[in-house]
This record gives sequence, C-alpha cells and structure tokens, in this order.
Amino acid sequence: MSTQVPGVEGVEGRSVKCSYLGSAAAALLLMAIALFWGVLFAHRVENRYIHALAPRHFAHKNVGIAVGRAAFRQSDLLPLYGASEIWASSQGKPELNRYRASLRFWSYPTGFRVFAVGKGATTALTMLQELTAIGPELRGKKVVLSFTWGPFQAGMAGPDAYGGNFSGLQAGESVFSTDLSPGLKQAVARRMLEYPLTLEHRPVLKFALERLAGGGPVNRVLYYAVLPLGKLQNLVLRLQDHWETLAYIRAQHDLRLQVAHRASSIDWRKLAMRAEEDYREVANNNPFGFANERWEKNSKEWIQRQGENSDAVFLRTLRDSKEWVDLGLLLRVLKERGAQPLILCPPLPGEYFNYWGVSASARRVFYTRLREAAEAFGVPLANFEAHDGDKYFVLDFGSHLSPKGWVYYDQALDAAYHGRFGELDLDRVGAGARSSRSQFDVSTDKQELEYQQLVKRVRQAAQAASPPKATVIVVSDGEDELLQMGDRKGWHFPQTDDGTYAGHKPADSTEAIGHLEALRAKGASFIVFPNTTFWWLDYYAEFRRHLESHYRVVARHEDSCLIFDLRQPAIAQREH
Amino acid sequence: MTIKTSLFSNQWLRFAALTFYYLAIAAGLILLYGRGDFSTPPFIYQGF
Repeated sequence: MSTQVPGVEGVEGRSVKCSYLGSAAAALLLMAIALFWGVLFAHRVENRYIHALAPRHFAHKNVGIAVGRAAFRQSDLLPLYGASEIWASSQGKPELNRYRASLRFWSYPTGFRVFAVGKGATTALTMLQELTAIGPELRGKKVVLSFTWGPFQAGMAGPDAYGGNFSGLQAGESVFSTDLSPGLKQAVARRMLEYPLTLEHRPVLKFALERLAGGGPVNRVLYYAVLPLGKLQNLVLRLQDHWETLAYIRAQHDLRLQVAHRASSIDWRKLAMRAEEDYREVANNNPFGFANERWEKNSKEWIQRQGENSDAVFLRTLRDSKEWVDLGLLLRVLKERGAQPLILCPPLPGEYFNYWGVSASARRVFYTRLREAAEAFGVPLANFEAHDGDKYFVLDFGSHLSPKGWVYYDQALDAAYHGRFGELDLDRVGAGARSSRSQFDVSTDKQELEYQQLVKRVRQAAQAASPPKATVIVVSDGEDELLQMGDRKGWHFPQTDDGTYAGHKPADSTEAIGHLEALRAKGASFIVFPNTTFWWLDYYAEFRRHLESHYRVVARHEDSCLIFDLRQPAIAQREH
Repeated sequence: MTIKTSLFSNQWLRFAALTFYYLAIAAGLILLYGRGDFSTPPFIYQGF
C-alpha cells in the first residue's frame, strides 16, 4: 500500500495529469483532422455546385470568399463584379431580365457562364477587398469590373454604402495577406481607416490597419507580431464561410447540377434591336427613356432637379471623389496578383443630365478620366461614351442598364471571354442605337453638325485674334481639326514633348500653369479655350487666375471661344 | 470494486473517455458559437 504525503505529488498524481493532457492533445488532433476533412468536403461541394450558383444573387456571395474562389477555379465561368447594375431588374416586365448577363449566358451559348457578384452601392474599395481575398486563384484569370458614374461623384456613395457592403472576412484576408507590396497595403489601410465604424468590434483588424498605415520600423514589427493572430482569425472566419456556404447550398432545393449547354451564335445587332423594342414598351411615360416604374416612383424628385446642377459643381464633385483613388488601388492589386481585368461602365443618361444642368462637355470629362485611369494600368475599358445620348441604354438616373444596355454589356463580356475585346467596335453593335428617334431623342447626327460648326467658329476667331504665322495653343481634347488655322501653327494643350496630344488633363492648376509657361517659352503666343472647355476655368481656378492676372483677353465669344494673348504680360501691356 | 470503477481503472479506457469528453465539449461549443455572423448593417441605398 503506497503512502501519500499531502501536498506532494507522487507518481500517481503526475500520471493522472498526463492522461488529462494527453486526452486534450488527442482531442485537439482529432478535431484538426476533422476540420481538415471538413474543408476538403466543403471544397468538393462548392466546386460541384459553383456553376449552379454562378448566376444566382444571394447575400453570402458578396461577403464570403469560398464561392468566389471556387468560381475563379473554373475555366468556363467569367467573373463579373459590380454593384446594383449587375442585378437591377427591368421592372414591370420580368421577362426582360433575360437580357441580363447572368441569364443571357445561362445555357453556355458561347461556352461560358457569368459568375456575377454585386450589391447596391458597391464601391471600388469593397471590390478591392472582395478580389484580394480571392487570393492566388486570381493569377492569370480574367475578371470584369463594372462601375457606374455615381460613386465617382463625391457625396453620392457615403460611408453607409461602404459599411453596408463591408465583410470582416474579406477585409481580414486583404490586411493579413503577405504577397502584396508594402506601399500598396499601406495605401489601402489608410483608406480603410477612414471608415472607423466598420472596425468598431474588430480590434485585431483595426490594430493591424493602424500599424500598416503608420509605416516605419516599429509599426512594421508590431504588424508582423500580430500577423499570426490575424491569420488565425482569418482561418476561423474561412471555416465559418464554408459552413455558411454549405448551409446555403443545402437549403436550395432547386439547384440543378446539370444544365444543358446549348451552343448558339448570337446576332448581337438583332438582339439589341429586339431589346430596344421590348424596352420601349415599358419606358414610354417620360421624355428621358427611363423605365416607367422607376419614373413613377421618382419623378417628383427627378423633375425638381431641373437645372439644379452645373458643370462646375459636377466637375468639382468628380474631382473630389475618392473613388478614383480606390479604383487605382484596385487596379494595382489586380496587377500585382496577375489578374486580367476589364472595365465596363454604362454611359450617363445624357438627356437627363442636360435637363439637370450638366453639359456634354462636362460629362466627357468623366469618360475621359475613366479611360485614363484604365489606360494607366493597361486595362481595357468600354465606357459606352458614344451612347451618352441614347436614351434607351439605361433605365434610370443611376445608369442601371436597360435590356438594350445589357446586350451591349453581354457582347463585351462575350468578347472578353473569347479574347476578342480589342476587336470590338462598341459603337456599331446593334444598329438600332441610331434608329431610336422620337421628339425627345438627341440625334447624334445633329450633335456632330453642331460640333463641326463650333470648330469652324473657333478657327475663325483664332485667326481673327492672332497675327499670321503665330503659334496658337488650343485646349483641344485631342481634336486635330481645331488646330487647322490657316498659316497659324496650332498646338494641342496639353501636349507631350513631341507635340502630340497628351491624352489626359493636367492633374491640377499647378501642372497646367507649368505646362502653359513651358509652351510659351517655346514660342506659343496665344491660348484658345473653345466653349466646350470653359469648364476648365472653373475646375482649374488657380490656372484661370494666372491667365487673368498675367495675360490679356483678346477675344471672348460665348458661342465659340475665349482667347488670351500670351506675348506680353498683362502688366507690361497696361504700362504701354 | 464496481464495474464503473473497474472500467475507469483501465488507463486506455480513461484516455478514450476523456478524449471523447473534450471532443464533445468542442463540438458543442462549435455548434453553439461556431456559425459566423456575415450580416451587414442596413444602409440607405440612395439609388441616385
């Protein structure tokens, strides 16, 4: 019989403790194995059902990553990320939804289906996190990004929009990823910290963001110190994501695994014409081509907006929007991850914008800036600018796509999937675009005629205001016709070193002033602002003040142009 | 010695029982608290 002394553990005591620890360790090991097999099972189910899930719209698709990763693994799914324009329905006639990409490509007519992800007011910063969280599956994959004009206007999509689309899982995957460059992560962190409400109950995420944003060696050490905890948190969230996805799949009783692939060639032109005919029947109670139901719901507010806006305000809110920053960050992420993005953007409802007080030349700034943002990263873009005046292209003020708009989108998606996007002429598809005429139509032929008349007046004014053989700078938007002024030498503003149009506007007044003075030093003696560019004088206020304080106005015609004489400073001219 | 005592005097049986006990606790916790909350707060979608 063994004698036990109180307070002193014997061999028996240590043996009991070891069995508890051993059991706990064994339980942990078994749990880990079960979780591992559970994840494998989840992957298998997700891969099995992903084609059925691709065209569906459900909440977890926007905030999870399991479904997205499964989609990017499939070669016959084309991911399309956007906001409400991806899902907005043609109200009043649900059968018109068949033009939507998720349904148009339902039976793989050209070999693929669209995996559509989007929710109202999704912005570029949200998309950035959605796609960063996809991880290495992005590499070499095509992804289509859809944007509407709204978030590019400061104040249109506020913090609520970001918060309403925020996913802790996607944010965590982005913040704790280790394959993005430090500079990029810092820039993203700074943007995410501008929405503190989304980080309120996420101390680990918040701490990591603050360290990333702060920069410096101390913050870097602290970030890497918390990285394992962040990764563990992400692991738990990913397991929960799988659970949620499996639960969703289990709850759907109508998911069909087998969908007949019906290959067919699509006559896009005919389809666009039919789509427009179908849409006209539900868009005939207002002069702007908006869907009847949208107009009935919003007409009071939309009618009151007549003349409420102006080019100057539109351009200022365009300039101040942070969506441009976020778009740049998103494209940087996709570039670093080796993805192949393509950007689509519906046109603005030009007729309504005219009514609202925003002219075509101001709207052109939006299209140009978006094009420049895409070109900076070599990303193909279709902004459908030529359809700015096509009132049946979008169905409301927010540029949600009409059936006809969807046909154009669908054609772009089809071309993108098959690698033919560069060959596409998006102005020509659907000849019906030019046949939609009514008393409220803006005829593109009429616009062209008016523009040619403007060009003629500008050239005449410039020749009248300047001596022969003078060098005249023109704020030209790249239009070479404006530079043909007889024996005067016409230069683009802004321009590259070899004199060709620079392709983008100056970033700010300082750049504009510097460029002007550089061209003046090279011999430019006049600068001409066609009336379509009068908005420059609001947008670049400092530039305007520089011109007015240093140079003399020699011609001012509201219907053609404004011309400054650059030969002598205004002060010297007054003294003489 | 009772049957219960004799069972638990077996080292391996005790080990297995404890392991199963811990697994049951973990499974219970996962079932109770494991499901994540992926809901997003409501927001006013301006719809422009």
